Amino acid sequence: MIWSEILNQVFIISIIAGAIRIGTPLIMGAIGETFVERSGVMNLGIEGLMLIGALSGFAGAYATGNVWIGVLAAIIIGGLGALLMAFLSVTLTAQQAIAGIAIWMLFDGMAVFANKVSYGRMVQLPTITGFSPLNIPYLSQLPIIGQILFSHNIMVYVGILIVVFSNIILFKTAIGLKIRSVGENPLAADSLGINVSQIRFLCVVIGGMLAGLGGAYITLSELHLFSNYVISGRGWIAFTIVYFGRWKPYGVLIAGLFFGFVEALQLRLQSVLGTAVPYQLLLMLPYVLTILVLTLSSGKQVAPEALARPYRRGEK
Amino acid sequence: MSFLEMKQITKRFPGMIANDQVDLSVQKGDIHALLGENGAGKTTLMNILYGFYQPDEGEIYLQGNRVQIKSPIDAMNLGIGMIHQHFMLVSAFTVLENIILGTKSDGSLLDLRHEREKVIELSNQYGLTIDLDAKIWQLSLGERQRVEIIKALYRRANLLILDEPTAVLTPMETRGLFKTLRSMKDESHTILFISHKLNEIFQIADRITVLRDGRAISTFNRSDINKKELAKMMVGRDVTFEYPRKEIEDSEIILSVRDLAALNDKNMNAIENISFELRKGEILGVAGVSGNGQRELAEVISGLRKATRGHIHLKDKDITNKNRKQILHSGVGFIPEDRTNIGLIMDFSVSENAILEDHDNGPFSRNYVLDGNEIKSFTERLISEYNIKAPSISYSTKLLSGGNLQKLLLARELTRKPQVLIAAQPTRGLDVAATEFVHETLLEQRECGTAILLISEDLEEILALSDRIMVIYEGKIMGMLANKNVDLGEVGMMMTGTVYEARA
Amino acid sequence: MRQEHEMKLPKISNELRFNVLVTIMTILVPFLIGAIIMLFISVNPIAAYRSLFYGAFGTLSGFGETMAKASPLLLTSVGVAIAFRCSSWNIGAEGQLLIGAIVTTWLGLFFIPLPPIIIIPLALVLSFVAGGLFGFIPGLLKAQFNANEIITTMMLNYVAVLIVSYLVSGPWVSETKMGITPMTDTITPSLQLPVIIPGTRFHIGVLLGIVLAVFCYFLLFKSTLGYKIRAVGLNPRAASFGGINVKMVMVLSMVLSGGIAAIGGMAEVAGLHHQLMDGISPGYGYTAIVVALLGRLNPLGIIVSSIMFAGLIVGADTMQQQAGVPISIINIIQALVIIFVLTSEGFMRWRKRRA
Repeated sequence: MIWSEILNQVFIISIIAGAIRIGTPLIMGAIGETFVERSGVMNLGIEGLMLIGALSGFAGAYATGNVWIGVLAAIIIGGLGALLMAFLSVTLTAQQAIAGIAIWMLFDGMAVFANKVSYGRMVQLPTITGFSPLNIPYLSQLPIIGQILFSHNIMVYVGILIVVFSNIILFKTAIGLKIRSVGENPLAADSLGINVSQIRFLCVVIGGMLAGLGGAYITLSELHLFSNYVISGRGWIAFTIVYFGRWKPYGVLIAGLFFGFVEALQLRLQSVLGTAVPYQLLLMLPYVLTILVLTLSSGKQVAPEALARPYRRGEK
Repeated sequence: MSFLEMKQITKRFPGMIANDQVDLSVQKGDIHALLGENGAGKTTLMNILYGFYQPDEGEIYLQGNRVQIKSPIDAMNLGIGMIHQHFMLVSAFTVLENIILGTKSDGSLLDLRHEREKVIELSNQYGLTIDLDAKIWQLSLGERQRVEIIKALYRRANLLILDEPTAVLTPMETRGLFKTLRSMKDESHTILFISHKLNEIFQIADRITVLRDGRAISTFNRSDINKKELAKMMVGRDVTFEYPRKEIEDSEIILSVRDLAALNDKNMNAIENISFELRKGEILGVAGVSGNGQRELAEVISGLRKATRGHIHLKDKDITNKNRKQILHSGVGFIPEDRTNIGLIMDFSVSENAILEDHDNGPFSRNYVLDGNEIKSFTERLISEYNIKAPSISYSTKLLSGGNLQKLLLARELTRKPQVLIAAQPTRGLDVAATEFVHETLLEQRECGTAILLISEDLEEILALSDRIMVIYEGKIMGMLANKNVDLGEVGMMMTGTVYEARA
Repeated sequence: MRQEHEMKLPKISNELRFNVLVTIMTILVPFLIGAIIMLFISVNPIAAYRSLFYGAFGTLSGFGETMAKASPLLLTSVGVAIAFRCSSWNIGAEGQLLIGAIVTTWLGLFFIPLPPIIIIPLALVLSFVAGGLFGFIPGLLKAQFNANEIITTMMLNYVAVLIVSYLVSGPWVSETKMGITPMTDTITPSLQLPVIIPGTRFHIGVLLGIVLAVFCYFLLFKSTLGYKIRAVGLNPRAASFGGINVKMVMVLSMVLSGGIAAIGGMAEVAGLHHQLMDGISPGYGYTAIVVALLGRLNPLGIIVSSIMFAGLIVGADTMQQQAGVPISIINIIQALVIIFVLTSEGFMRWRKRRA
């Protein structure tokens, strides 16, 4: 009895805290993609941008010994990568789906390549100190919620701030209105003198920067090292979280926490349940759920109306 | 000095001239109407004024000063506002959001109290009541138009362009609009009103400019002209087609349409109470400005759109709301007005398009396999019979000229020997030679007994070919008359909204 | 409006020459960029590319490996091409391949007594059906609910990977075989496809692929179904004008696509690995997209591009060993090919608008 009680409290705390930790990179990437899709573009290349962000973050921190340089590097490289996506999608008005896949493959390849070239010869896997959990004075001593909410590393709080600011920008500022108008009806926006291409470029680059940041979170805050498998699909999950969260930052936050929760849960359950329930079944949940959500919501009413449709003035 | 002066405006698009040395002079405080049929050049001219297009030649003067309008922002800065035929509103946003979109500096917060007050003031000033917090998708079209007007006024437009504003309004909403326009006039706004609806123009306009075929024909004060003369000017032509036609004897009824109604893509009534009969060997010309339900009528009869009421009978068979494949088998042919998006797959070859409607049937295919040889000989036959200029059957359709595209469509439909042929705007965009070919082909078919529904905005064409003329306006039949000693002015008035007794 | 004189027929030969030139450029430029990257890491590009080619086609074993890898690539790419021709963006070839692999492994592990003449065709059919189902779901959801097929197929990829993971470490895990990753037992020899060149891993999978590719070529260009698929992909409205049931065709294209991709998985298990394990596909389903695009969505062209890419993958290994260039440079080049295909398309659109 007591055994399962202890297990329960520790269990629950670690899962919820884990959900926040694991969800943070997903949320960062997804908030970025929210900006992108709110402006009407669909960037399927997040997976690749997150990986190259993860590498850049690691490399920057490793080379200079300063973890914040790593953060900066990740943001810049992610943004630059997204610039290519913007060029393909907005300037060349290419099929965004294919452009996204190409971006994914390109930056995935580049990250793996750069990793091999830079660190491939080393005998031992290079590591960095990275970010460690802050234990916020007073607050982290609070029972239960202290551990859940106030004992994370600084990037988690940065992530939360990003969510809050993104919501303000998108829904409470004039530029946010512009962005959303471009994603809903670019023709109308154009007729009011709004520069559709410029806005889309801006949003795609923001998306790339945040994807890079999300990737860097994993190397700098979680693993403190880099391997080709640090992202392993998280970019695709971030992409689907945008749908799940209905293109709203707080929705994305909840959806990201949900995915983080599922991951944290299955990690814990593995040890507790053993072979009773295959963990793969649990892992499948988010993907199946996404399919269901897509089907039942018939996206059109909630998704930005002009999503993934290239805008060329003069064409309907 | 005129408030607005457009001088010698010329605009060319590939293959045609939209505006040909157009002069337009508008006085301050006037409600100035631009009257013309589709393709007369009205919308293009206004798009130039609003900065969407640049003129190839010509100049624009506002209050005596030469201005360059390179984009909508320039137009807005000059005080020009446009209310487009297709509203430029973001459905998901509220009224207030749409009105202020783009007017605030980027970093500012969307605390819209100040803006709200200004908008309320404006709407009171002009009598435009609207719920500022309603979402656009919740509003009726008349309400949306009000939003567009407030939007323009909010940006301090003193010249307002309205492109076919009453196309989407109910009569009551139209009255409301006119009331608004008059109060705007009282506030010294100048209004440019594009329309093909004569009655309305006569209700509201001070001066009227008639455009036809890209040229400005004449400008009148409303008091100096009557409707009939104006209608004639709008539809009159320089070139006349003369075709001798054999009289048809009383023949059997092939197509019978009763009380047909249907919706358009925006779920509004497109056609209502349509009833007519089409006889063997008869050409029934459907006259009217494009956008008055002709497209939907053609689509319903050919199985591409659902009828919401009414019946269609092909001889004694009820073909109402049968699916497209069934209609294709029944013997109804359709040459759509949108050749490149609906009638043909431009990236296909000529032969692939030739068999679009019959690819499942012999001799073109058997057991799901296409018979290349049969298709080849069929296409070659079509090419030679109809004189289609294509070097081979595998030539890509998108490389064909407009005239040859139309020949291909004609060829395809006619070899299927339809009992009824619907030809929608069959000579639009074609040169004289191609036009004559189409006309001759249609008349040949008539001789062979095909019943033809000829939909055209070119009244001259209708008069040249039809046995009877049916005028359609706002989805209803305005009049039906025999093609004998037809009064152009009268028909023009039917096309613009006046009901006449059937005189067939 | 008045019409100006009708335009003359444009010359065709210039267009054709231009198209060929563009296709060559879309392959050449990425390799050039690859060469620049190599220079960056102080590698001689000429030597590197030579070892690439040698590794792929220069030795018997290398050639054998190339042809072995061409099998899944060819099959999945043909599958992808069929869906793409219908404008259904099937990103799920990876998952569909895995499904085929799963079904084949199931047959091979639990139906041991069956003779080859029964079990091989059975594996083909069942794989096709299973893959078809995996394509049917996203296809139906797209046709009926307008659900984005890129996401639904991508999601199913993950589901398939997880199913494989579950099976190979759970119920089908081998008691006897050990390795870095979990794996199943070897399948029955009856289901193991014959090898064409003894001493290599060159199995008949690629021949199967060529046969299917030729069949799909005839399907796409000589059958009524293929006609409908292409029509819907180019212009669904005009396709309805011709009486085609657009929704049904969309779904069918996804079913066919998934089924063929699944046969690629069947061949991987039956012909190459003879077992199922984690990571059995190093992303063939994704490379298939590049191969399909490069082959201009034409099954015959894809035969060529798939062998080429297979050679790229195999040769990259040699290139890494001999010239010290990381294999991942191939992924970079691959991605650049797509980017240049897109760029050239965009460029041609821009040209048309100026004219």
